[in-house]
Amino acid sequence: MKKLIAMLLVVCMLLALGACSNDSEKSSATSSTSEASSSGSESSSNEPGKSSDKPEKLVFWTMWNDAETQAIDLTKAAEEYTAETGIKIEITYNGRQNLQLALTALNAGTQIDFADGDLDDTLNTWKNYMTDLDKYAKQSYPTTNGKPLDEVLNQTLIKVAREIGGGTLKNIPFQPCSFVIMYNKGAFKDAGVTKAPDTWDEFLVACKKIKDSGIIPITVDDAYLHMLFGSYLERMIGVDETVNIIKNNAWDNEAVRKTVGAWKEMYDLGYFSPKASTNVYPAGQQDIGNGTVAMYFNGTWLPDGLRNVTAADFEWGQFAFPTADNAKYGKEANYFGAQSFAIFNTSKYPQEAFNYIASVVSGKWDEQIAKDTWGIPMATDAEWPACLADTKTIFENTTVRFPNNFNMQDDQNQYVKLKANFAKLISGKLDVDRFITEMCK
Amino acid sequence: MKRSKGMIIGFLAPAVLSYLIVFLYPTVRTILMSFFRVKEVSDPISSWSFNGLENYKKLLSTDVFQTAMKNIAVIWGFGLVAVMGSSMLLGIILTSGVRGKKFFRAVIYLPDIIASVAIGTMWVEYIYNAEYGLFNRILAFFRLDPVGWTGPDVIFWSMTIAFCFGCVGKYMLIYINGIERISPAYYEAATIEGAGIFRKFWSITVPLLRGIYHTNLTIWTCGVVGFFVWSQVFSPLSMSTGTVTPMIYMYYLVFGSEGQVSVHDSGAGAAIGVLLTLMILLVFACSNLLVKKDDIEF
Repeated sequence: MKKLIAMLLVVCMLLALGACSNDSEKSSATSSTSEASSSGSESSSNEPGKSSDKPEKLVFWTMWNDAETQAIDLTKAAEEYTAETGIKIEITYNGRQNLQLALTALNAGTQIDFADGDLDDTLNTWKNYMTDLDKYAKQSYPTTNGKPLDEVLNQTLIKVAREIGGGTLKNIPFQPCSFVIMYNKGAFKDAGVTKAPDTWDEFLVACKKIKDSGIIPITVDDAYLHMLFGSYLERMIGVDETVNIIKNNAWDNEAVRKTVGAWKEMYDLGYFSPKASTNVYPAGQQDIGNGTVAMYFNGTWLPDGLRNVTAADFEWGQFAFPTADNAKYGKEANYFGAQSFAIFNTSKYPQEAFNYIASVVSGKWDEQIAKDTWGIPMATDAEWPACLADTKTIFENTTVRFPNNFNMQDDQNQYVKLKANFAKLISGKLDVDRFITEMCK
Repeated sequence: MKRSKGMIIGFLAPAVLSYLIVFLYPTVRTILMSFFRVKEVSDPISSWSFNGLENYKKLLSTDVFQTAMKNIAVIWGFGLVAVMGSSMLLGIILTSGVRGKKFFRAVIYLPDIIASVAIGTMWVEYIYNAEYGLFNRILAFFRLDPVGWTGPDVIFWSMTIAFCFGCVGKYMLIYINGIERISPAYYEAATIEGAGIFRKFWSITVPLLRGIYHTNLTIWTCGVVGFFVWSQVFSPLSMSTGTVTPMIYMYYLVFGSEGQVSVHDSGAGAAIGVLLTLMILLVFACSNLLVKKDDIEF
């Protein structure tokens, strides 16, 4: 009898454990999610990719944290979408781990209709699950004034998205960004620099005037040291040769010498902040925000990131990385990218998911997100925030897209060497020859 | 009372099953993964391809991994001397009848209660800052040149010192606990025999704390092997030579960083996990051999 009771207890405990496991799965999903509306029921048993009936809910996993402005606007847009269509959008705010979390969940069979992430990274990570979006992008939506969606969006990014998608749109870009030299227009004016520099020589002249006016011309953080170096080098010789140098540890190269020499000269002339080599992110960028430094090479997200540091009358300006003499590329070659939406091929309602995406990347919500985040809008007719007005021209004139990080992080062995040696270079601890020697080790 | 096997099995089964599912399965999977070419950590086993010892060979010939191993070896060795030495000294002082023992014990332990991120940020922003940091202000007071505490030449030691500073309190408490377990009768007898304070320390305290050394060594090794947060605080967003550790490199290989997801190599990441576990086991085994807890009874 006792044995029977014991066995029954074991069965009960195991059932309880099983029940806990199911509940915990649900409760963890609920606790980590914030639904735009209350939960809906399971969707019907349609084939993936077919949208024959209206779903009760769509599941959206986002790369934003729930307190971020982007997340707040996306949630409001979802609520509006729900009010208009009756389709609830259940949003899970995963933050920057969204790529991996979504992939793990997809591999485990979790139902996710769509998600967002970096334009390139999503393709690298989710490629086996991404639906071809061309047919949806070629339709018109309430926010596109009768035109196909892909015609009203930033054509440079749509072209890039098609290129990296192998000729078709696998994701819809939004929140575009570009790497440019961000500067304090007030400091430039005070120093008598009336025109943003185009060439390296003009850049040096501007730096001199700024330094003479009592402001430090430029600074950098540890996280972006490689960007200064990489941008110059890749402009000099292009992507293929840069990749070749990194891959083969072939740093004893004329273009590398010229690049190192240019930055060494910047140090010798006193144009770098004395703290530049010791700045731990984001210490350096605080200095442009508080007005002690005039320039910082960074993405167009910088004004938003520093909005609590900059004074009310702070005027942001941007110019493309200056063109060096005899460089292969000029101002037309820059890094730019975007976040993006992807719809998974496990979704039974891709059209409904795309309807929401279209409402976010064009029309009212596109402008609202750009306005609230001081970001770049996706639609061609949308208004750019004043703090990024100069970037619009840079973006429009960019015809060559350099890879993220200018390939400097392709090989982590090379990257950590470059980071340490470049910091030493801009603090006067290495000259050109020693820099090359250290890099070749 | 007669023990019923069914009862024992019945009550143990849920716990054992839970252990097997949530601990043993991931462990075995990770060990297996380290011998396969696996891109994403969640890839199904059917997509893995056998790679033999290649993941290990690749790691051991990778400069960043070598640097990472060297970094934690130095942190482990330096900290072992600095943290264990100072925490033992403080433990002895605070158990010697000094006034305000509770206050000092609380103050010294305080950094251990505060999150590592907060303490690390405090060091970076307020102590090591080149412009207004405490250390450079002290140097300026003595008319000495400022030091770039977070520059590439010094950042490793800056990080190590900050980390060690935060660790002292925890080990001090363990030492205090060990010292207080030693019967005062030993010290009284030694005093009657004419032993001085140093003799009592070397002949009573040091040998009777052997078990504590063993415990502290194991905890210290686990803590250093898992060194991650401090590296992130001192080099946010990307790796640096001075701050990279095996855990940082493992995270990079398994999860990548922005714009670097194509480098994912979860097989190599798993191999790092296995190597780190072996290191802990090795230190634990050596510690067991060197410090026998039960050769002295008190």
